[in-house]
Amino acid sequence: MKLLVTARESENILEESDTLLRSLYKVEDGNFDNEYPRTTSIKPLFEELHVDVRNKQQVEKALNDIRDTLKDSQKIQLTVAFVPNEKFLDKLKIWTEQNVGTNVILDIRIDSGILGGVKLVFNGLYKDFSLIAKLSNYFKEYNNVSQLPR
Amino acid sequence: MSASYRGKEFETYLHETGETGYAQMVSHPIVYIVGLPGAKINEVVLFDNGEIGWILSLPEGLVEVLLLSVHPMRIGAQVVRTESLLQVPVGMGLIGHTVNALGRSLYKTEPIHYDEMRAVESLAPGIDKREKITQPMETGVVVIDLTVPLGKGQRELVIGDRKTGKSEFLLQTLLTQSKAGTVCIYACVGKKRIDIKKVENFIQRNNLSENCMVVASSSSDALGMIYLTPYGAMSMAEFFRDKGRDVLLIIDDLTTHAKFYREVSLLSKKFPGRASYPGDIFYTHSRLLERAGNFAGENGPVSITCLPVAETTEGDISGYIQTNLMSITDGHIFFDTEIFDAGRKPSINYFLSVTRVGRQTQSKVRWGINRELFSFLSLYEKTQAFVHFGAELNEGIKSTLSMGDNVFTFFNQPMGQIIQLNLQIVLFCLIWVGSLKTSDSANARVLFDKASALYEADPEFRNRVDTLVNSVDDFNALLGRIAPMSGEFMSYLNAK
Repeated sequence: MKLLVTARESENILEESDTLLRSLYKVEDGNFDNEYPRTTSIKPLFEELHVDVRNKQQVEKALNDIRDTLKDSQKIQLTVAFVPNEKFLDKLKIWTEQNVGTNVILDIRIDSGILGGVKLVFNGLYKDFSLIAKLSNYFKEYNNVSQLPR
Repeated sequence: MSASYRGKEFETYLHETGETGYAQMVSHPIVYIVGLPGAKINEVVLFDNGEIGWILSLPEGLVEVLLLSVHPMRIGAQVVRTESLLQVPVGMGLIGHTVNALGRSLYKTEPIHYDEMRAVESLAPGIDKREKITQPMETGVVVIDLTVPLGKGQRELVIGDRKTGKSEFLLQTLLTQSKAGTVCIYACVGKKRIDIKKVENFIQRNNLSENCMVVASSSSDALGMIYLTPYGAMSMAEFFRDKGRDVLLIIDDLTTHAKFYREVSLLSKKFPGRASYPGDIFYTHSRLLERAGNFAGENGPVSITCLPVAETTEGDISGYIQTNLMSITDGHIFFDTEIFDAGRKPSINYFLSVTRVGRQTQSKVRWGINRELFSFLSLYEKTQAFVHFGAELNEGIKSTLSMGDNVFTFFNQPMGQIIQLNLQIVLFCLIWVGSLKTSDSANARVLFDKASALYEADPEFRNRVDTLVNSVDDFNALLGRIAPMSGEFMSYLNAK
């Protein structure tokens, strides 16, 4: 299963799948349409995975697979200076799929203090490509140079 | 205020190491971190709220950290590596202060000046760096110096039930050694704050701050800090040793230390062994105590004499931790509850006490006294048992009982009183020849106090006593020298 979502999306998926799993005992085969239409995150996933929502066992298996996939997913934490729109998120997902792989959760945090660029944390490794870091380094070098004896 | 450790900010460590992690699970004080791919065991980590932790192990996919803070860590807290082992600041400036396991003063007084940083954990020196123990370590406590002698560099376990006088004995030893110029470190491990304060007050009251310091963790401190206290104290002792000073390190007490380590191990899900202690409990104490000893220094041998304390319950010295410590150390001094209840203080059972290396430091005179004394005390114990039958006593038995009473009055030493070694020998000889009768124990105590004060204050008196003891190499010869002049000696003492 391929799953590439943001952290918020993964939380929604987990919550909805939890609700559905708990309510499965009330549902008879073919009668799952009461709970299912209310879900916002699970529905598109089921459509993508071609899950037969009338088959209770298939639904249960799909939900468990989704939860396991999310649990085993790698997490990329991105700290950016602006609130990303849908277009940006889509571009990000495409790039991640091409360069990192699928089954990744994008944890996007907003910190206007970095001014621009991004701070990345992936598999415990930290990289700072923020504008504030570049400017700090620049001013540090400038001060070092300006303090050199003439 | 940004989190920092040893002068560097959290962000600086983040940029330098290029690694970070997040707290995934907390079982206070154990925190499981996900991330930190380059983490090493025993490395220090810094949390984003300023707390520090110590990496205990690296289970699969996680980093297990022992938090050195009382407050639990929140889930999701960010953490960085500091690329350094746990170190403690050491320096001559520590003397006279009370610090925690990491060298920080417990009181907000003047900042302490440190000379260098030392690892809390280090390997014990090998045999090539050690020397034979030859110098006696005077405790100032008569019963120990005459029956269970100690040497400089020895590790001697002090073991007994609670409230049997162990701490009083240790403070007397600290007083004697501090006056002799030895650096004394008293490590309080998980003690009540009132007990830590008592030690500090004793040091201040007797003006010992020039040579003494306290390394303390109270029972309400973080588990990690309590665990590290004896190791931090030992690192500080090693610094003074390397500066050419003899050190006396008292660790009070290691049974409490074992209990706190057991708690840490069980929380980190280590498999419990005997009495739920972890399997490495012996190694925990042995690697600490092996760092003490007598070492070859630049200007002659230097020593770290260690007096660890172990508490027993109902006099049971066959407990797990107690027997572990007895096998690690070079002997033990047993404080007996029955002797304490009988009113004898210090309540040391010299028959059950052992010194494995102390006897080789004794002079021939002391060796002679030791041999005679043990033989006599054994006879006295048997005679005491015989007297219970209520039979009529002949002169021989009466004289044995009388001499025994005199000796025990001499052994009874109140808290804070010390008697110097050569003076002990002379006073014992006076008792042995019958010139000094201690039947009036109050007067006898006054006399001993006087003699001790004179020995310290009067150089002529001290010189006479030292010359007398050093002029012979046999106990009987010494008795022969003292007997004729005993009257003069007693008159001199009574006149002062």
